[in-house]
Amino acid sequence: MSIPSDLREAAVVYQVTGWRRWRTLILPAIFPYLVTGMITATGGAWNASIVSEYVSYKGHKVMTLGLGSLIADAADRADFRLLLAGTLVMAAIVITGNRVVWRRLYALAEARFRLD
Amino acid sequence: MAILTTLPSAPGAGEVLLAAEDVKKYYGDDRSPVLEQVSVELRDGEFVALLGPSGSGKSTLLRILAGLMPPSEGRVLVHGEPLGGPNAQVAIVFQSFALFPWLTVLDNVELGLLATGLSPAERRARAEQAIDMIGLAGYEEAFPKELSGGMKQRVGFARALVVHPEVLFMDEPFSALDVLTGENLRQELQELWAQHSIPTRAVLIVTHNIEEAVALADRILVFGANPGHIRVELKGVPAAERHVKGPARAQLVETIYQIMTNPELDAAELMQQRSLAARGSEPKTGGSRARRYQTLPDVSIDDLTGFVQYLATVGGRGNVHELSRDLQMRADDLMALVEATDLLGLVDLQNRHVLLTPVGQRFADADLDGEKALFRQIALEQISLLRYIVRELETSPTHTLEAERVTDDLEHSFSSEEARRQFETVIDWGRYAELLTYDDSSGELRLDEEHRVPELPS
Repeated sequence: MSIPSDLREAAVVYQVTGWRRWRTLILPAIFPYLVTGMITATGGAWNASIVSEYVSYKGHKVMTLGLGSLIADAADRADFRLLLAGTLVMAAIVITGNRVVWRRLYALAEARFRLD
Repeated sequence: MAILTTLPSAPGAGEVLLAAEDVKKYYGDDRSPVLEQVSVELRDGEFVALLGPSGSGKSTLLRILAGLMPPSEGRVLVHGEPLGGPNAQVAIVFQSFALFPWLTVLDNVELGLLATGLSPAERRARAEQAIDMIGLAGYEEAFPKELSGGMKQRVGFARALVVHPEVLFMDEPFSALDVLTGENLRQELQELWAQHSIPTRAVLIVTHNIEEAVALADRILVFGANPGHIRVELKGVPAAERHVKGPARAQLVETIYQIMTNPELDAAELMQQRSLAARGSEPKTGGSRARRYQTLPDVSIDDLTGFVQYLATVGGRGNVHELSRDLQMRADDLMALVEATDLLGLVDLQNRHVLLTPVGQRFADADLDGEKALFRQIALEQISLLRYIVRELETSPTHTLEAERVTDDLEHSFSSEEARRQFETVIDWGRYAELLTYDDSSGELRLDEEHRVPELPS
């Protein structure tokens, strides 16, 4: 739907088919949506994995090594200094990821793959 | 049913390259038709125009012939063989350009060659050649968004021509461009085609612009809407007279205009009426279905009088090209001026030369009052719309007239936009002639008190 019909027609007329069709038409045309989707998916996945690192059920604690379990455990034990440190590390990772990966992809989407 | 007047094919037109046989197209569950049974042939050497209002199915027919969509009924034949998918003989120039924004000009042009199996070096060479031919050299590495509309469409042309298509399709190729750019590109294309600089054997253009169709085509198919069908097929202006504006083109434009502004009438009958009218001594106004008023060129009175004055200063004659250059006017605008002054009998156009008539000379020599008096006289004689308005004002007890009545009346003959333009022009001229005044806020026309017209020429 996000691929303009005139470009689709041009691809048919000039016999751009198969993998070439993906590379020159479909992937570039959906690139901005792809980036947005990847950000959402990555965020959601990370969120879920952090939560699942530390599960407390009927008095049993199941945990694995990781930032999520560290933060949850620190909160449980009221170790506020560790909690603060863990949260700061998490924020730093998010910001770095944004700067290094997502913003650049967004900029690329905006500069090269905008349809208008 | 489509009415297809069969005409002898254009001189030099040969073998049928592409044909639609009884093609119909409908959409949706209720099978609402977009295109009624249509048959078309495209022959070797032909330039064919599909002309019609929007919704007349002309673009749909182009897409069916290109194999971009299958017909609901009927079939498409390429060299006599039924077409089952995309038509490989065809390249299309799109109205919206349809350039890939993430590819450079060169990559966009090379796109069509990817499927040909040429080596990268050969592809590059051919793309460069097409880019040079179409006037894009130096822009190879630019992205489409860096280009103006005209340049974008040049890329569209280069991309289409680089594949050496047997048949070139153009879907409203100039309508997204401003007039001057479009005209320029059109002339270049015309030259490439006329000089056989491109190996293309036939061209099909879809357009709603009558002038464009007349300037380009050997054959013009006029489409009607609801549902789309071919109303009539007309022979184009002979190639020799096609590239300049002149009587042959003007006459065909007028004929087509008549056909297109009377969608409810049978086109064949209309044409017969016209040829009868042409045989009579004078075209009569107020005929049964003929347009009541002539079309006034969109020319302001200042330009009009200035033009006559200028002509007088250069010896009462001038070549159209030189005038356009010396006055630094676009050819279009100059032609509108020539048309307007010709309409008023102030000049004569002969073989691209504009000659001041004796009346024109008198007009140029007169002082302002004399100028106005003369203009008043000739405008009333020549301009049927002005005559009508003044007569209405004369007979009205209050000597006033609602502007809306005039514009409504004009809308029977013109599009509402054109009607507005016609109205503004006639008001401009009528005010100058001191025949009438117009109050824009009340929308009221009033007879100019000082100049009651003693008697009107009938």
